[in-house]
Amino acid sequence: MPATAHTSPDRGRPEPWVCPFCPLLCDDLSPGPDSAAMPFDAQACARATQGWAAATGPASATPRLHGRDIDRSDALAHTAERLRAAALPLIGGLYGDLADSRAALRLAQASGGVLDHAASDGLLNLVSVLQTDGLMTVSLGEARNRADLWIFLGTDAFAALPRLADLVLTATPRQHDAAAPRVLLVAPPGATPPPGVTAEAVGVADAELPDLLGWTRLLASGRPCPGTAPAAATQLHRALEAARFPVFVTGPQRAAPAHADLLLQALAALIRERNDRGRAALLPLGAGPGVMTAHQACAWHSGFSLRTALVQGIPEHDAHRYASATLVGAGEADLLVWINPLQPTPPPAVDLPVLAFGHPATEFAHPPELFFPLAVPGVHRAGQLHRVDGMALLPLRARVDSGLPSTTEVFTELLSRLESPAC
Amino acid sequence: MLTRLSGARVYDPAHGVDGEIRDVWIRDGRICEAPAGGETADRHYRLDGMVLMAGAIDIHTHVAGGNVNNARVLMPEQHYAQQARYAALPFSGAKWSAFDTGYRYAEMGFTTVVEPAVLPINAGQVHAELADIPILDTAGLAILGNDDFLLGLLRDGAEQQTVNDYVAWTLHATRCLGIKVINAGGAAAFKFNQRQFGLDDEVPMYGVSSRRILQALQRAVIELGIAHPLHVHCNNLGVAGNVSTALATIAAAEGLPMHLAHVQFYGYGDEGERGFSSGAAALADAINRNPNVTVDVGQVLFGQTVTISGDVLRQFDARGIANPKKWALWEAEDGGGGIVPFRYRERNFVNALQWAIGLEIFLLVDDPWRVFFTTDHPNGAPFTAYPELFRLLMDRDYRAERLTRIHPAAADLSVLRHLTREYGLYEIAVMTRAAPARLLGLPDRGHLGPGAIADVAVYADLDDRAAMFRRARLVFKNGQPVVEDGQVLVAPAGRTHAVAPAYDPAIARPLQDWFDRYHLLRPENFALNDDRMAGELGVDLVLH
Repeated sequence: MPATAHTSPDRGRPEPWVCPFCPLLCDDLSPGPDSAAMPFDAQACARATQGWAAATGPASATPRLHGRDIDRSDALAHTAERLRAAALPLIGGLYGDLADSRAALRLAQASGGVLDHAASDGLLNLVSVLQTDGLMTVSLGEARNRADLWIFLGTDAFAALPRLADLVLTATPRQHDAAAPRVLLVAPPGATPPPGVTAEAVGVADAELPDLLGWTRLLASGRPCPGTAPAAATQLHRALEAARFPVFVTGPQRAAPAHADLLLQALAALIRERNDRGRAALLPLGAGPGVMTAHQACAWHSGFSLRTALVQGIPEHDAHRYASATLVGAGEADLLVWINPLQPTPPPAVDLPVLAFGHPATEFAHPPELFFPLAVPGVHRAGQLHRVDGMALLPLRARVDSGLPSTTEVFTELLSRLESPAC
Repeated sequence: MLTRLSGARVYDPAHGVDGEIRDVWIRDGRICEAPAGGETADRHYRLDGMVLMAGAIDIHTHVAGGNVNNARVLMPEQHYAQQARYAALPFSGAKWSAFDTGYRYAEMGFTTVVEPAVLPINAGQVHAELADIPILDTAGLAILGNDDFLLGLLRDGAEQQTVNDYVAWTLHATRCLGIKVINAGGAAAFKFNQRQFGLDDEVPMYGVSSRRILQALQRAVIELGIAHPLHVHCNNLGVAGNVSTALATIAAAEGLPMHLAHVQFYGYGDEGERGFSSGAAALADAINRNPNVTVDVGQVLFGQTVTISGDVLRQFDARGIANPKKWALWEAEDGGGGIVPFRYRERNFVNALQWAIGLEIFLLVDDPWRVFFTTDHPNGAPFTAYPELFRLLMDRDYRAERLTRIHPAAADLSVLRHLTREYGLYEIAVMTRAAPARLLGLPDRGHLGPGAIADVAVYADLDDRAAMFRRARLVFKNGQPVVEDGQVLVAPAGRTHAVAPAYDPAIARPLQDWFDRYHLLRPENFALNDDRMAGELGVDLVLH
């Protein structure tokens, strides 16, 4: 895979490139001319270098059916046949960009399928709160410039977004020359913030978080306390009282578990109540790669978030009934179409036929019935991907010509086969 | 392909045509003269007894972007019980989707719509959504006026020319048709915990008043030669007594072009027992006396809707009246917004008076070229309620009958029962076709002259004007029949329109510095460009 140098003459700045390998979408990195050896600037994180290496290393170039090479046309004919015969196909994976989401939505519509992202649990918990009580949120850039108190409920956001601390939390200057923000880490005792972040620990076991939020709301309300508030609640309350614009951060692990919506609901209520007197907001950073784009695109196509069925053209959304795990576990879905060009994540081991359209370096413990390698957005082809907060839709740029087909190209052909009377 | 439309009564105010029976000819995608030399039409539609106009244009309708999309997700109960109506068309069963937006507008004979609230950092998503609206041509208005860069320029006493360059850069970066200002400075003030903000209040830390922001942007739009005047969402939306804000804003325009959006929401006095009264007469009088000012109404119609606004300060204030009781508020780089569901009820005094005030404004403003037909979709009502509004304006008996159903105290306070004016088809064609095209600077539409885009709507001439405008008999988009008997036939992609005013590229240097200091992305990734628009976003862009 030949790579080319991209440097613009203007002030020696490298030509802009947006790293697609985590939803922070850093755009201050530049893959160098020699993609194999030294792909990045020094500030690149391991996720970026690994993502780049996977997309530019050894890879499949040809579709495989039952482990044997097959040409593209036959692969799509087989896919169309499978989709026609399926009672309820699950269009999943969706570690991809807007082109992947649009293709998946068209495919779900044409085949009467269900659309879900493989890592949508946290998003749907948040959507549940939005649809019940509502939310007060802040964008990443706004928090960077104005939040004077960051309250992290766990350290998982740092793991999910490796450069979060550097680019957002400790970045300077901030608007109006605001001082560096105070940081609280609400996590089980012993948890540590990433290097370079000075945080005050609020030691709380996960199981005690609902109590912490409840006590903190009570303290803020000024109503009489039925006993002595836990030290952690007092600590959090005092920090909130001293702050002008506190921002609560939740990562993927905090938002994803079953019934995490109840915790998020309590947090949303705390934030709402605080806004009766001052300011506060939630910064949800739990959306994994491609989740926000799939969610947004699904909403403007169908009116609903992910986990929406398009059977007979009428969208039906149910965060529980149409969850990937439910459909697969209960045996309701009878075909999994895995659309996953952004990262080499294989589909889960499932007891149903799998047609995987994905990253060319995907390695399978359980080979799917069909594997169709696609161009990687942001490396092999241009694309569009939402930043983790959903606010900005950023341009992914093609940097390496892999010869692999784009999602749009492949699914346009597949859809025309599906819509024609015979394949 | 030559198409002849014969026999219909034609309303084409741009050419003074008022209901004459005449032929309209279409060659390929454009209106043309009747062919000389006996050339016969490939298609001939006999439209005897029908009414023919150019395709309608909605200048202010919230149809795309993160705020709209989050409102969709917030209100799943707004989407259910919808039947799939066009089995052959994409996502036709998805109520309130981008697709549904195109189908429902086209059924009513609308062929161009403008999304009036494009937050620059969200412009990519707006355009992706607009591109997925079938049939309709679209455009966006870029939001400025709460952005740190502009407020910084004004605080530092920058030259107007610098402001102009920044405004032009923003129009390029967002690929928009004009500039919108929402409660100028209000969202920025909200970030400093300010919960009220008027025209002469200053934004903390910048020391710049709302009036100063408004006037700087208005002047920039004029000096850049942008056809659409500054599109203004005033301060104090929805507050009793706010007609004084609207009047002060009109005065602040100082005789120069300015468009005031959804003025019904600023038509409120604070008199009477309930401290809420109609300010429509004073507002309409000011509009009549200031020919530089245009307005759209933002009519309220009864029923469930969800309000969507970039006025984060006012949406926060409205949270207590959310119905159902859930609401969302967000703050972002250079702006914010809020989503508050609401049910307008005719037996509620305030809602009933809002309904009456909107109609009063329509009926008291003399010049249909300066008052535009909107519900501020979906803030006053969903755009699908437009046919009801046509009937209210065109049929005074119907209006009188509806007036008996609203809260009696509101009906008594309103002058509506004394207003006998009825809009005719010519005036409707002015306010929904000819005038919007002129206001937006889109000379190729809104009329039926040779060379115009062949966007044409044909209606049955029914006494029930709501029924008439709910289902066009025939709609052409770029000369292609897209609706027949109120049913969408095909769903071709629409185009998106934008302006690209010239500016001094030296503005890139301070902008680069500002992005480097405060932003998480580089200007090259913030700004849209033609490759992105045509490529992955899928936009067919027309620059004016």
